[in-house]
Formats: sequence, C-alpha cells, structure tokens
Amino acid sequence: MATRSVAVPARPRGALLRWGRLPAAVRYALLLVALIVIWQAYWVIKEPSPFLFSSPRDVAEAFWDGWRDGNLARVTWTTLKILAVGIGIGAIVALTLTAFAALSQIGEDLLTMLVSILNPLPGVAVLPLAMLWFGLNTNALLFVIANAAAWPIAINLNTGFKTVNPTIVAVGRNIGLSSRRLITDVLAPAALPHAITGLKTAWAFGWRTIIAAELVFGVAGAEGGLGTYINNAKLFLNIPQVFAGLVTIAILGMAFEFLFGVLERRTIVRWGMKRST
Amino acid sequence: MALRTNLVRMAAAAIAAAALAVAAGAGGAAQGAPTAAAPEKLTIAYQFGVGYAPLMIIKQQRLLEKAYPGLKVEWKQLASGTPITDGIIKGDIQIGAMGTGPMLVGWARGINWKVIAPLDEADLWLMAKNPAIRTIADLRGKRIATPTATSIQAVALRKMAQAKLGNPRALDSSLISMDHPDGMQALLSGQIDAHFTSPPYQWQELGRGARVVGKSYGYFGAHTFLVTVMTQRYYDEYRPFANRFYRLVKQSIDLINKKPKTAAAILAREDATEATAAQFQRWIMRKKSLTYTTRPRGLMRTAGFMNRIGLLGKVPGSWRELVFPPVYPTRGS
Amino acid sequence: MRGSTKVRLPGATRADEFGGPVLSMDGVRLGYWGSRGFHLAVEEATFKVAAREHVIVIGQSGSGKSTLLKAVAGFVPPAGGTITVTGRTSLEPGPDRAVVFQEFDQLFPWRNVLENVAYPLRVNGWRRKDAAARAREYIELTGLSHAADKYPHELSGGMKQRVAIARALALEPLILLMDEPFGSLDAITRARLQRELRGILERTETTLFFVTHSIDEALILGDRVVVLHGVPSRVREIVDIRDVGPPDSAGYTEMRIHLRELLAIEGHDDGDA
Repeated sequence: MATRSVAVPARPRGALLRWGRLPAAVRYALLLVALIVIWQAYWVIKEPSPFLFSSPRDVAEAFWDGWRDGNLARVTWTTLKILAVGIGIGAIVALTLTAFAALSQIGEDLLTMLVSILNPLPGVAVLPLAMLWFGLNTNALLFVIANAAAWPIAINLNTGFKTVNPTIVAVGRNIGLSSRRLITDVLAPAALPHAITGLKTAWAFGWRTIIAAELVFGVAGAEGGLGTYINNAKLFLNIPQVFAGLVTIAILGMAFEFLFGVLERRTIVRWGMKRST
Repeated sequence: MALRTNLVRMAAAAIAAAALAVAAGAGGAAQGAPTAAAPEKLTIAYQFGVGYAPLMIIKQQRLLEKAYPGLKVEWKQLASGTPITDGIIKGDIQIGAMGTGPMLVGWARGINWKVIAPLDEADLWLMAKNPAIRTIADLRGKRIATPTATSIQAVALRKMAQAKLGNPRALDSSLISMDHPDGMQALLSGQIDAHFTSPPYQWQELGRGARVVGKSYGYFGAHTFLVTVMTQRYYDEYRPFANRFYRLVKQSIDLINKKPKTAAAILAREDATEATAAQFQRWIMRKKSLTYTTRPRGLMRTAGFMNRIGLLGKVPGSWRELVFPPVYPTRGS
Repeated sequence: MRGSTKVRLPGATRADEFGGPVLSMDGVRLGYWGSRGFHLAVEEATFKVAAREHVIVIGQSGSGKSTLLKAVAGFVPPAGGTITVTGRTSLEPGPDRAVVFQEFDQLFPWRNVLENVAYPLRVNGWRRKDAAARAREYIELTGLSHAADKYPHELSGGMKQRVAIARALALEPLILLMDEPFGSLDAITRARLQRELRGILERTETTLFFVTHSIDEALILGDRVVVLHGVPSRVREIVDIRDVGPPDSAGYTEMRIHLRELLAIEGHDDGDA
C-alpha cells in the first residue's frame, strides 16, 4: 500500500496532516496500540468482573500459553481442515451445477431454484438436520459448511460465465479451440474475478458457520476445533482463554484476507480484471 | 434501600406467616421464628431430573412463600448448569442447583460461592446399548456423551479411564456434550455408543435395553451428586434466610425418606409430564443408587482428582471450605 | 475444423497449391433468427477473392456486411448458396480464416502481448519455442516489440488492435478477415494503422477480406470493392480500384463520388463514408 502524498500548500499544519504521511503499516500499528491501551485502561479503571472480561495482559498470557502447549494450534488446524474440505465439497457441487447451467436451460433453471431455496438458509440452522442424517460426526459439519459455501460460489461463477465477453469466445473458436479447451482456456480465466469473489464470500460464510456450528455441535474431546475451544474455556470460566480464542479467530481472518489480496494481486489485478466491489 | 422499613415489614410478615403456618398445619412447615433480613424476591434455578426432587417439593408446596409471605420467588428450570453459573455471576440468580463438578470449577476459579444445601448422592452410570461394548476398554475411540465438560460424569469418566486404561485422557477423542434427554435419545437410537448420565435417565435406558458399563461409586465411593449454591455475599447479607433455606431442604428430604408416597404424589403434581406418581415413588425409593441427604460426601476426593488431571486450579484444605455453616454438623467429606 | 491446417507455409503459398480463388461466394443468402422470426440480411452475394487480393466489402450500417464476414468465418451458416474456401464448403470457425474484430477487448486479458500472439500458435501445434519466436516476428512487424511484456489493460486502443492483427497474421491464414477493425479508433490513429496495414499486407502477401462502411478506408486498403446495397442487401457492383490515383487526384475523387452513389448515400459529402 503506497503512502498518500499530500501536496497541497497553505493547509494548516496539524496532527491530521502528519498522520496521513505515515506508512500504512505504522498507522495501523499505532491505532492497534491505542486500542490496547484503552482496553487496559478500562480494565484498570472500571475493574469489571474477571468472569465477564479480561485485561490485555491476561489475554496475551492465555494466548501465549495456548500456542505453547499446542492446544490452540491443534484446534485451529482442526477447524481449518473441516473448513477447507467443506468448502472444497461445496466448490465441486457449485462447479458441477454451474457447468450444467451453462450447457442447458434446465440446468440454469435448476441452479436458480436451488439457489433461492438453499442460499438463504444459515448454515447453523441446517446443522440439527445434518446431525440426524450424518450422525454425530464431522460429516455433519462438512455438510453444513459445503452448503454455506456452494451457493455463493455457484451464483458468482454462473454470473461469471454468463458475462464472459462474447468476443473473446469468438476469438477462441476462431483460433480453433475445442469445446473443452474453450472452457478451460477462455471461460475459466474470464470468469476468474467472479470465481474469486465467490470464493471470498464462501470463505467468509464458512468461517462464521463453522465456529457457530462447533458451539451447537458440542464436541468436547480431542476432536474439537476453535469454536469448541472457546466454548470449553467459558465452561471452565477461563475468560482470558475465551478472549485468546477470539483473538486467534481475528488473526486468522486477517491472514486469509491478506492471502486473498495476494491472490488477487497476482492474477486479476495484474491483468486489469478486478471489478470494483 | 430502606433497610429499616424492610426489617419492620419483614418482621411483621414473618410473625403473621408463623401464625398462618401453625393454623394451616401444613405438613412439615417449620415453626417460624421471626427472621431478620430476608430478600424481597428470589430467583432459584435448577435443572431436569429426579435428583432435584427436594427443590421440586419446596416449589410445589410453596414452602418459601409460606415461610416468607410477600417473598416473590421465581423458579427457573434450565437445560444445563452453564446459564445457572452465568446467572449467579451476573446476580440474576441467587440460588442455583447444579452438579458437584461445576460447583467445584466455579469455586476454584474464584466465584466465591459455596454449597448452602446438598441435595443428594447418586451412583452415576455409564450406559451402552451396543452389545459389543462390555468394558471400559471397549470404549476406546467410541462416541461417548456426557453432560457438559465440567460435569461430574465427565470427571468420573476420566477416573474410569485412568483406573482401567492407565491414562485419564484415553477416552477423550470422541467426547460429546449432550444434555440428558438428548443423550438418552441418541443412545437409544444408536447415534452414540455410550451415555454417562444420571437418575432417572440411566434407569430408563436400562429398561430400554441398555447395559451398565461402569458406575461412579465404584471409582469415587459414595459421593454427592447435586447441590445448591449461593454466593458468600448473598449468604452474609441474608444469613437467617439462608439457614432457613437449608432447613427447608432438609425438611423436604425428610418427607421423601419418611413418606415416599406423599412425596411422590407431590412430585407428580409438580411435573406431570415427567412421570406418574407411581413412577416417582419407584425412583425415589431406589436407595442404593440415589439417596437424598444434606450430607456432602466425596467432595475432597473429587476435587483432588480433578486437580491432578488439570481440571481444577486449586483444592480446598477441607470440605468445610466448600459449604456454608448450616452444613457443618453433617460431618461430610 | 481445427488442427487440419498446419500453419507452416504462408497462406498465399498454400492457396497457390490449391489453385483457384481462395474464397468463393456463390449466391449466398444470409439471415438470422430474431425476435420477430427469420430476418434476411443478405439476399444474394456472389464474388470471388483470389490469392494475395485485398477485397473490401462496403455497405451502410445494417447492410449485412458483418454477417457476411461471420459467415466466411464460420460463425453463421448460410441460408442459401455456398461459401467455398480453397475447395472446402462446410465451414467451422478455424485459424485458416483468422479474424480481427472491431472491439478492443478481443485480446485475452490474462495473457501479455507476446502470449496473446503465441498462444493461438501453440493451440495449433506449434512448439513453445517456435511459437514464441514466430510471435516475436509478428510483434515486431506490427511495431509492438517494446510492449511485448505488457498486458492488454496497459495498452491503448490502437496498440490493442495491432496485437489483434499480429495474432491473426501469425497464424498465416489462408484469408485474413477484418470486421471494421479501426472503427473505434480516433481519426489520427486510424489513419496511421491503415497505412501500416497496407504495408504489412504487402510484405506478408496476405489475402484480405475487409469489411467497412468507410469509402476512404476502402480506397486506401483495397484492390477491389464489393458494394452491398439494399434491404435485404445484394451485391450492387464490384469495382476495381487498383488504378485509382492518390487521394489528391481527380481519379480518386471521381471514384469516391461513384462509390457514394452506389451506396446511395444522400446529402453532402462530409468526409467519412
């Protein structure tokens, strides 16, 4: 991220002006420090109950302990695994339905109908049913995540295919591409911006769904993920650990946003294909 | 708060209540000595199961209202102990009924609560339906349901694992938290392999084809199952009331032990959907696995074990640190 | 049909081997299905294009000239008559009739300039290194060497059209089809590209089928002009313009007026079309 240059003369010098001159990383770091200071101040001044709140220091300690003894790492990995597989399944379902929709009218109709019925369902609402169908194991969670991920991907991908510039499709046929290669070499890259948007949305939905679902699911033992970790911490009244879990979630969220940004910069930004969101 | 006006009001109310109680001759109502400070309203929370019978009797017979006319009592029956703990922390609930596990966890984390009246001791059974599961060792890798992770059942399971398999965490891989009714349904429908539960569910499961794989008494000896707790602050503020509450619990327990038929009838009226009077009577008479008493047992043993496997941050020096003075004479452990 | 014509020999040479005209339109009728049923665009078109010849098809907007080009390209089947390209009559889209479209966004945005030109070669069997080398040749030919690594979104309209031309020519088509490729450019760039194209076509001995509504463009680029006129349109006249003089000559002006009459353009001559 570049610094914004402030070149207008005759502006009154003030904190705002100097603030804008700092590099983005420094600005965010300073804001973060300020927030933590306010947090600590609240803890010291208001003295809230330790069963309702924690100080930054306690949270940092719990966070550090959690990583040191491997618990946070283990539960994070468990949650991410389920999320990845679930989104993968959802993506495959979405790809299949979208391909079918691209090739036939009935496919398009089917996709539209499935989307309008199933997309509005919050993932967690489907979980009790999933637990009945798939039993009390990870498959129920995978089903819920796949459902949360499939529809955003399908919607976006379908739009992507439908709005591919017909000229480059004509070019593809003109240079002699087979139907298969037309799909892989022209339609797929052309729909990439939409695919990425779909993936980002699926990720966001999936992430929220898995944490909530873990709380409903109630797995208590070694199989638990990040949501279970937080719930357990609360059960044992270890509030700093609850916050540590939340901090982990926030950090992971930011990390994935960063990764998506890298992906976009390497592809659709480089190719001038990024649509303004 | 206008304490003096309250005091005067309460004193007058108490005298009237005492007179009323004598006149009505309600079974077991205590001869009310005029009490000092008592609350104006009270929220009591308890959970599901016949183990809470003493409270159900107090509720059904309106013993609190009779002892303190003008006292507004709100009874809340909740599906698990977690909201009860939360409610006590926030001050929304003044007396909570829970298992010894959550009580110890809260005490160790510094909630500053203690037991005002234990309710019962119970032998808690680990049930399985699949004929292939006969011993603890068969449960490796199987799906086991307990109430919350802090429940006494979860603790007992760890003790069983340690005793039989050498490692308290040996059965941790597939632990699920479910409340008793859900757990029973899941066990009977085959969704889970084992259910560590409590009366009356374990008896119902037994009657429906499940088998006992382990009993908690076998590992902890006879031990307390359910207790009622209140914060130290509340006790200090309403000491006479607290003492009275203890006596009312003891009174209800005496009724159950001495006149089970009457008690069962009261329970059936309180919770008609749960069971009939005859059924209640059968349950409260299974003395071998469920005994109503205000004498706490096995608290130190349980706390010590929980501390050793890392579920409890500290252990009490003696059982008296866990209870309020009315309980002292019972010579608990 | 893809893969059946290996682009190794220059297009004109391959056409010579065949003998006869590269493109033959015989009584071609063209239309399409619209919202109100079948709409006939071209009632009859008959003409031939010989190897190395530059034939310009002009007509007013809506005269079906684009449809004619699409039919030759294989995108639209004729409703009547036959289209023959070096003896073949059933035509699928293919690289032997490479097209340059009017739109700027006919390049693949996810490939840079070199890749946009080299990729179609690889699709048709060229090895990676050979394709890249050949692509560089045509990139140089169209004056784009300095931009070989750029992505389409970094190019101006004129440069994008150059890339499209390079791509089409690199395939060494039997006949190069161009559908008003300079229509979206500003007048200065358009004029420059017309001149450059003329030179490139000569150097590469390319056979050209070019569609436009601009008489001046036809006069600059063409050997013969096919005038489409009417609704539905027919070939009104085919005019040989090889011997017409430079733009400031009397012959040029006369031909211009003649073509305007053929196109039945009313009103004052205000420069373009």
